[in-house]
Amino acid sequence: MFGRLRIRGCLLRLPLAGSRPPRTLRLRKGLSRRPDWRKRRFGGASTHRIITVAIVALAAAFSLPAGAEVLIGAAGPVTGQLAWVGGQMERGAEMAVAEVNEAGGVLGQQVRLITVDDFCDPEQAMAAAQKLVADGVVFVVGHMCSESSIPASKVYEAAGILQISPSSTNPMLTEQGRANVFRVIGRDDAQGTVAGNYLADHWADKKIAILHDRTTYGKGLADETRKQLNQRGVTEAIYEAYDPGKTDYSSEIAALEATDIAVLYLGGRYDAAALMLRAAHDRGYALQLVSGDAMSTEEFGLIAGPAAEGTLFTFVPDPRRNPEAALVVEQFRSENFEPEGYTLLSYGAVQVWARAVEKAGSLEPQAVVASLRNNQFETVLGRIDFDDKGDLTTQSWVWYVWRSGAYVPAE
Amino acid sequence: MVERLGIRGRLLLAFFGISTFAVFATAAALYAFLQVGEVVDSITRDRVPSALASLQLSRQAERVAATAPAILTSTSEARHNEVSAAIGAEMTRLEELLAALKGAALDVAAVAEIEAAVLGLRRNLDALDDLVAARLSVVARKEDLLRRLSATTNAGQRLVAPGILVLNSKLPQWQAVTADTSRAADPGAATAADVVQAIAAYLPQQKAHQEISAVNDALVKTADAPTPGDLTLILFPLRRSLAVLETISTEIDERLRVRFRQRVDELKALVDGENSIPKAREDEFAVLADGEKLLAENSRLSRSLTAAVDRLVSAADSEITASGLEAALVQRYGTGVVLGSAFLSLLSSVLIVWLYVDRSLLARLGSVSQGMLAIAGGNLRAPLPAAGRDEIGRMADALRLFRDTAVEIEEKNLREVAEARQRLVDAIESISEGFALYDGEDRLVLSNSRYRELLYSDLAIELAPGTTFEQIIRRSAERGYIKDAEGRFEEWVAERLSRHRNPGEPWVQRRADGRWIMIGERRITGGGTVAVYSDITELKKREENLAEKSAALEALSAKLAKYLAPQVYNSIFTGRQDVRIASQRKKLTICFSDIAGFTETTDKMESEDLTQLLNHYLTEMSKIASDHGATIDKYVGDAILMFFGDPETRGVKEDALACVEMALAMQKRMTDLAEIWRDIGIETPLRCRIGIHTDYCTVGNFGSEDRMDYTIIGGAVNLASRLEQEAPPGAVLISYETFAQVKDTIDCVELGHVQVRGIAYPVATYRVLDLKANLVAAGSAVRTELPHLRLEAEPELMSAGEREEAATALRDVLDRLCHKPG
Repeated sequence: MFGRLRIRGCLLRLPLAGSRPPRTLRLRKGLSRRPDWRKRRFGGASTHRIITVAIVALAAAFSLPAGAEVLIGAAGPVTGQLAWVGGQMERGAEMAVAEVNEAGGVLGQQVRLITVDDFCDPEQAMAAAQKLVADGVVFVVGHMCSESSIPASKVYEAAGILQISPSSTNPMLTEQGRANVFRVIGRDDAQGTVAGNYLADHWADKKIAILHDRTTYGKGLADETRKQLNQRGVTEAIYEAYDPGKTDYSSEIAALEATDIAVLYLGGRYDAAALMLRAAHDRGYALQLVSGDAMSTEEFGLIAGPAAEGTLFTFVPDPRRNPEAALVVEQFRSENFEPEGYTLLSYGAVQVWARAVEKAGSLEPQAVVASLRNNQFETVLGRIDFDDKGDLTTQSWVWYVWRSGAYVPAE
Repeated sequence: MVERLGIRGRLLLAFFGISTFAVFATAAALYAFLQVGEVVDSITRDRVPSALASLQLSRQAERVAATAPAILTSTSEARHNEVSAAIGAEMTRLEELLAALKGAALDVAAVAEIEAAVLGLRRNLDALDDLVAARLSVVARKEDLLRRLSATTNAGQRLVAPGILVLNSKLPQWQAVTADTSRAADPGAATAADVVQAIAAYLPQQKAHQEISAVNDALVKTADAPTPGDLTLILFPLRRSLAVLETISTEIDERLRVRFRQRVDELKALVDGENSIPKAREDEFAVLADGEKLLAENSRLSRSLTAAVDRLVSAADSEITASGLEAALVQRYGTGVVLGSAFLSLLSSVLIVWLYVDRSLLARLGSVSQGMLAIAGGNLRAPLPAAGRDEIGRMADALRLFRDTAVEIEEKNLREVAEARQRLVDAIESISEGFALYDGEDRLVLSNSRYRELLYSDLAIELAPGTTFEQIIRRSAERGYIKDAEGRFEEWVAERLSRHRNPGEPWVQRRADGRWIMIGERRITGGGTVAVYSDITELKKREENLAEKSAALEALSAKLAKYLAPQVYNSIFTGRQDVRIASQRKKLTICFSDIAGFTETTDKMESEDLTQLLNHYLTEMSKIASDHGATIDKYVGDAILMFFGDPETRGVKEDALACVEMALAMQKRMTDLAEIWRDIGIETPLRCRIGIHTDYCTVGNFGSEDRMDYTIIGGAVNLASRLEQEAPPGAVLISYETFAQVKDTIDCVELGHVQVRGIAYPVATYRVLDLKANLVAAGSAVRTELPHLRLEAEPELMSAGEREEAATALRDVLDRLCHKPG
């Protein structure tokens, strides 16, 4: 608690401090071993700034070529149907890089972010990954969709590049045995269990339909949920696939209505979900939509309009409520950007990489991977600890409900 | 005075004169070369370095001017630094060259001009460098702005995307509603109104989407606008699009309004103002224009620098040319001097040699040498040069003395040679053999009168020294002196020549007149041939006589041999045994044979047939006897007495065995002969009886001094004869003594004892069957001979097939014998 408060104090002082704030000092505070010269930090602001500058200069002179840049990549659907999600990643990663650079970069080098657009398409994801490899990045935030992350991870492994996904939930990503892959979000086997239990607890006596969009993410999540539901002794009335990317889902909704479905569990993305709700609303058909983490985007509300009301979905505990994230959230909001959905997860992914590099004292992928596995990191996402596969050791999925154009925690 | 110096002094004087002229020529040449060297030296020392430095400077200036544009094209900081460093290095080198030139060049004004140009170039390049740095920063700014444009565009598009999606989803509904209108008017109209309202709400977003794209496209185009004029052209539609977007920002969904407004403002900032993309492009244009100006200035400076350097170079060039001409002139003079002195030196040498050395020395030396050569060649009367006081004169004196002595010695030698020759001729004449000596080329050198007398008494054959050997023998053969040459003239000549040229042992030649000449030829050292001829006609005649007698004796002894046993004959004629009355006791094996019932059988025969039959029989038997090594003692009618053990013995046992084997061979042969005789008409086969006994006998020559007989005597002979008489016809009977010797090899059957006259006890007799080996091989051979039946069978030797055949034949015979006809 004390440590957090101190960090906060420093951050708050930033805008007031004016030119060249001693960010390096703030970062190094986390280190357990404190060099002798640090004892003089209370000696006076100017002395301590001079020393800091000197140390930074020395470090730059001896360890690394002056003016060198560290390149990192961010890959996600920057444009297209899932552009809002891509925007979340882009803004989150940019903000994190800006914060790292303002604090003096990693190992004294400035970090530059290269964003590539993968349209959540497996082939495009491979191409995007190869572009990043060619550019010489050492680390990639992404990809966002599981169907992109999984094929891209092979390219990154071959090139020796670290990959941390902020949003890919399909278990397969970390089950392939690739040492370079990590994620800062939970897995769909856990999410599906939570969803299956919820459906069984609340609508065991109602007709439940499970639809999925055939994608790695959508079908994976739908199957996990169905498995848990069936284990609980409840059988769905309908289990079907639908085509994502359509503009009209009236016929699908009509079919559900005809079967007298009360609850729809959807394994898919928010655009289709919102259009389905709209179609149901237009017909005056009251359908309870339950879905996964993909619904955590404002655009869902914008498309569905009033029909979004009451939609339930699972997502990680809202990082916006973390005290560590308060300052960053404030910063985003001051720029008229709501850091919802995967924004802070992307921010956290960059942050955890930067801390791991500082701890490893090297940009070498092996050293950074070891550092990620062997340490715990304080980030905007709270304390992060990875297991051997690259998954978070503590994962939790909580329920959110859409109320008047925004999602809020259920109950 | 010259005369007193002698040859040595005069020659030294001549050489000294020639050498003096040569020294003069060398000195002149040396002087000329020194002159040329000095001129060339002054060129390399003074003029070449400055020219070279000027040239290098000029090239370096050109290189700098050529590299400079590269700096303007560099698009990255790293590339700029690289090019800038390269140009810096080239400039530094240029300045170094300038410093070097200052030290070397003579034209101060030109150097000052060059220095000013180099300074200008340096300033200009520095300015260019700064300008490029400025341009890079402008480009970086532009790129940053483009990135911001992209982000803003994406963000703007994202804001309007939900509206567009909803709009698109409404379209099918609208279509459905329009279709419904035709059927049900009222509810359809209401729904259509709803749809239209909804679409109207989302239309601004659709429009915003288009305008944002338009602004983005226009700005991207601006970033690469080819001329400043294009910039102003593009700005107008940009501003109009922005105005539209501003209008839309007031109409858009209120939840998005603030964010949309923000995006529009960002776009505005990118279109207008200090930090806009058109402004950045404008700045870039300005920088590029400045750069072009600087580059033009740069190449102007470079040109003026090159021009100044060129002047310097051409000045140096003309100086080098002038120096070259000077050097060439000096060289020409030098060459003239050298050639002249060389000619003079040669001329003086020729004059000295011709006028002095040749006339007063060489001519006289020549006449002395001619005199010497004439004396060496044997001409002792050749003229000699006159005597004198110098070395050549003294040499002529000595030569004369030498010639007189030589004349005296020559005369003495001639006398001695004539005497020796006469002695040799006398010696050769005194020997009784013919003698001839031919030289290496086979020409007659010397011969004595005996030679002619012996071989060529005919005076027509020329035997003068010098006649070749071949001529001599050809002529003698033509005249028919040589017996061998008759009818084969050429062949004989070739043989004779080859024998003459490769002489060996002495040999004999037969002459046509019946004489025999022995010819001995020898090669002598120095390549000649000596031939000695002796008459051996008497000797030859005696030899022929002897040969005739010897042949007669041989014929006689051959006739006599037939009356003697071959062994006896051999031992007499080889001289192993003397022909004299002598005898010795030896253990012999005696064999008696005769034909059973010979008299009865032959009674009715004619005398001629009988003689033929008997001779046939005896010849066959004698042949077998001598094959087995028997000594045939005598023939008594049809009986033959033979013995083994003298004059040669192989040992008692072997003799006895040989004898029995011979007897068996005879009996076998008799069987074969019976066939033959039957064919010629002797109905009853002749059968032989043989008796053999082994014992001590007296063997040797018995008789009178006039006539002797080689025979054996003793009781053993009687016993053998008795055994023969006891033997059944066709059988061989042997005594126990013989049986004891042969029992291991021969199979016999004991027959019983016989009483022999003169021997007190009865003698055990054995009938010989066959060799044990034969019996084993023949096994149970079947032999039966009856009137009208002869049977011989050897089953052990038959193969299975043969046995089968034989059995069939015998069975057939048996059948016919048992079943008599009728």
